[in-house]
Amino acid sequence: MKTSKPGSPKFWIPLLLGRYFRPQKQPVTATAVPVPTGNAQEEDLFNLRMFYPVGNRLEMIEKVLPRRTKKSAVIEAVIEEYFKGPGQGLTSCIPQNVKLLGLYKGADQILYVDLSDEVRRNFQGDALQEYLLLRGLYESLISNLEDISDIKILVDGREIETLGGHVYLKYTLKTAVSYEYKGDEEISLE
Amino acid sequence: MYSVMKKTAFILIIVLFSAFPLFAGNIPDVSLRFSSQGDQVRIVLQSDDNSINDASAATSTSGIRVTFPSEFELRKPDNFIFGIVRQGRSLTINLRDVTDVKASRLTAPSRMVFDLTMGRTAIGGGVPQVSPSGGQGTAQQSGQRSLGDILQRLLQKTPEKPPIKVIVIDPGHGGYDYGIVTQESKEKDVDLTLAKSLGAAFSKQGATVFLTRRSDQYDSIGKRVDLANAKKPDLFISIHASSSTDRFAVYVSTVNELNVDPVMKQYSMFSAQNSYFDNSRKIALAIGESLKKEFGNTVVIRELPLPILYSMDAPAVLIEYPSMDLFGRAQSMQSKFASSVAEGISSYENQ
Repeated sequence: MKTSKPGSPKFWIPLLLGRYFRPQKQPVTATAVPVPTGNAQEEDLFNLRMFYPVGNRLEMIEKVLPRRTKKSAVIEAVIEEYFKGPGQGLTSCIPQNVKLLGLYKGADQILYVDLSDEVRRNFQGDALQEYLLLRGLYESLISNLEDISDIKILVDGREIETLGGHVYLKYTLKTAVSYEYKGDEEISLE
Repeated sequence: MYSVMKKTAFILIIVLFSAFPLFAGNIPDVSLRFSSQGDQVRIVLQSDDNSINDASAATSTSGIRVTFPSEFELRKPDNFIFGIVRQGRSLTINLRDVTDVKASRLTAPSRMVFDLTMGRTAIGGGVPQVSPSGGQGTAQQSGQRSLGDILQRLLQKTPEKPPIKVIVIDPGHGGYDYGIVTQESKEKDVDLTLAKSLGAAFSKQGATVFLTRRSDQYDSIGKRVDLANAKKPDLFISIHASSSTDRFAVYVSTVNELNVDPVMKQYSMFSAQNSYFDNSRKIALAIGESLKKEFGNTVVIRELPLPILYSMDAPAVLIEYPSMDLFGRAQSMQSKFASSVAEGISSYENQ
């Protein structure tokens, strides 16, 4: 019987496809995560470092939530808090009513985040805002989770090319949004 | 008699020589000098009061352009660290590895002063760098670089500038991808209208123009890139709306800094823009200046790894226009936008 060598594409492509289409974990259903409003000192709390797109930058905001023990619950909390927006009276381009449909983690530590189509339909922004929206999500997840190497966004269970027509989502987020935006260079005429 | 003639000739020569500067004075001298200290470089342009007071200057971290009231003689040191382009009354200094530019005017003697802050990659500030073999090192490992090292790096030859004959214009979005939507307009429609106006302006200048779409249809980013690259353009311009009400943004790619797996890089279009990075920035600056002059709005240049730019095998920029409703409604704004961008490209070609 003819077998493919490990270095050849015939060997790797089925492996990669298999990993992608047969996630190792079952989808985790999203649940509502209330932010504590009572006496915080009496509860077991933990902090999330969230990165929200605000204007032309990412704003780091710490959010305090009841402790979760399961890792999947922490991931859910990060994503749900992210799509709730920064609050504190800050305006952000984060689309409304986005639901987390599922989470999958590959053997290569890539986290697959399956979001509802509202993330695409309700996004109203330009190229920089789209970039910051995705970078903020990436930073928020990576900052709060240790064993995630990269993130891949799915919408309604499918791979999409782009969210708002500017940033390429066929690649993972590490590739698509790893560049640290340095700010605008304003042209001035004297 | 002979001695009288001799004296007269001598006086005539003296008179002619003393009158010469009066005529020669029509072309003023502009002397350029520079100095550096730490990560700061200062460029000084000195001339007579009129030349400095009536000169206009446009600055960004990729270039300085000074337009003097008349043509001028430029004197500069041979070891000047940046590239210079003279065209008529304008002087362009192409900057590299600069993170900030501050301009000021001083008197007695009259001069324009540009204080530049050099980037950390230029001065060896310990920024992690990935070697071609994939290993990591830091610029500091080789010690603090001398000014000579900086000059060497800055004087690297920039790519040649071919004439712009074929232009591909990409109207953003389309079909079910509406882009930004307001009660009055959809971005996909305004993008298309502006792209057509711009195409007409370029055609008038004699360029061959292609649009990635001419109707309200959806095309993926990948398809647009393939369509555009197949035309082997000399310039690619993508048109989009900004969510800002008053700010134009001209985007260029950031190909070199993408964190891409080497294997993926080999098979993807990631590296297509690498050869055009400098020219794309110069074009962005020229368009930005022209938009600023025409509209008076804030104009910014942004570097972002956008696929429609980094996959282009040609100089490529993406322009975002503000006030979408206004540009969608007012034909005069559309014409101004088109002529302004076309003027920017002409200015780049004449540099």
